[in-house]
Amino acid sequence: MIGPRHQRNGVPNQDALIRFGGAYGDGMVVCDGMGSKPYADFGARSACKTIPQALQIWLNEPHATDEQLLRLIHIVWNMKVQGKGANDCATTCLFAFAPASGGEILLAQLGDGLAVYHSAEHGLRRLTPDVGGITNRTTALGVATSLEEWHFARIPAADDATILLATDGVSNDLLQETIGEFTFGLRDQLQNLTAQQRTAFLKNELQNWPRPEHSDDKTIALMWRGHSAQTH
Amino acid sequence: MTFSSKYTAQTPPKFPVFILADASASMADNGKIDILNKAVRELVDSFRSIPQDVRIAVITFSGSGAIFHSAFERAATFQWEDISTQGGTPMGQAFTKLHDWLTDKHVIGSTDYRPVIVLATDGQPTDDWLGPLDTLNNHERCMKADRFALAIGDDVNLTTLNKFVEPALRNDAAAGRVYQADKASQIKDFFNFVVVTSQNRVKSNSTAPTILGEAPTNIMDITPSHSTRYGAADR
Repeated sequence: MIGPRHQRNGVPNQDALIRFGGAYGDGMVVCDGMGSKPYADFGARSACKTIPQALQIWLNEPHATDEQLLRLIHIVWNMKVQGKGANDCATTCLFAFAPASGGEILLAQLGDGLAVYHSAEHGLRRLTPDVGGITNRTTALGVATSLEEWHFARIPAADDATILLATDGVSNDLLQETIGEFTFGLRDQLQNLTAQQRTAFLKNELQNWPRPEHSDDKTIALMWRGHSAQTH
Repeated sequence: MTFSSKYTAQTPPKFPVFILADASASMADNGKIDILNKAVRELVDSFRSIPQDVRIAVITFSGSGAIFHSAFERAATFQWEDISTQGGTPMGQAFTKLHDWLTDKHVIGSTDYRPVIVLATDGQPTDDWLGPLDTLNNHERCMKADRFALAIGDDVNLTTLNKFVEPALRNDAAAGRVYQADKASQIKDFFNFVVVTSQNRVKSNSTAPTILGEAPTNIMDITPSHSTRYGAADR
């Protein structure tokens, strides 16, 4: 959902998301093009296309490492933005992927935003530590110089697993101590709705975002065992 | 009332501005402290004109140690009382006090704008400043603040100021700047520049790169790796 500031200034929504899936598994990507970069929206959309492509190549090589997946993401994204310049397309990138083989879920984050996992057995896990919204150092595709800037985890594919990805337009306004309740509360709200109703519900949430004077673009994507819902 | 209302901050984000002001005895020379007092008063007036919830804290450091001259007050109701001068330059104590506030989540929450910190000094620290500055610079919550420093005159320890802005520069090449002013009257120009830059920050958002205001033509940008002089034809 485009934020009030970009709407006022006639700037396009710089958030992007994609839900993808197939015989190889299911996943979702959420990206937030960086502030003043001239092609931030293009960079974010390109990153969304990059993740499923990179995953498919990576999954075909049974001995490929997690590090090689992250390197491949940079290579594919750099190719997509080559014509405009990587730095001018800088974007955060968060993704979750559940392989069809039933192995561990992959959860990854480069830059600001929120990636959380919840299951009854494992509780709430947040990919980046809660050190306060002002503290995350800004990194992104097009900015990062080391794979160490990624946060990456393999997490158990529990039967009741729920994953939430959100851009910082959402995560910066959430009360940190209620992120768990927000995540599984949202799942409870959505899980009995049709796909169309879920989209309408999330759109209504973002269109009527309750934080006074909020300004940023907003994207939420939620995936849980058996279903997923998303909007931005 | 939507589902998200229960989980979302219900107050507008605060925009924190911290000013570290040298109030040592040497600031009384050539009317520097008078001009600093006037500049801060005008800065507060400027911030009153923007709609965001600007909060201003002023830490002075002098013979009395580092003290909160004004503790994180709303710009709208801020009443400035002039700073007086005495004694040495315990800048290390000021860094410690700033660190304690920046790391207090009750003062600056996770949903607030990232802070702007302004340091104005005309001298050399007279206490142990390196340890407190390292502590400030290495704390995750302190790293993302924009930092601006003004060296007033030639007797300033620039190593200290460069080290002070270093974390901001690592995040965003425009988010940390060191300026040098030769004349007391240039303090006001520096503060005007900080106001415009801060206004650009809040018009944007907390995470967007810093958009610098137009730098004054009579102070010199001496930021490491960015030593550009702005129109200093009179020098």
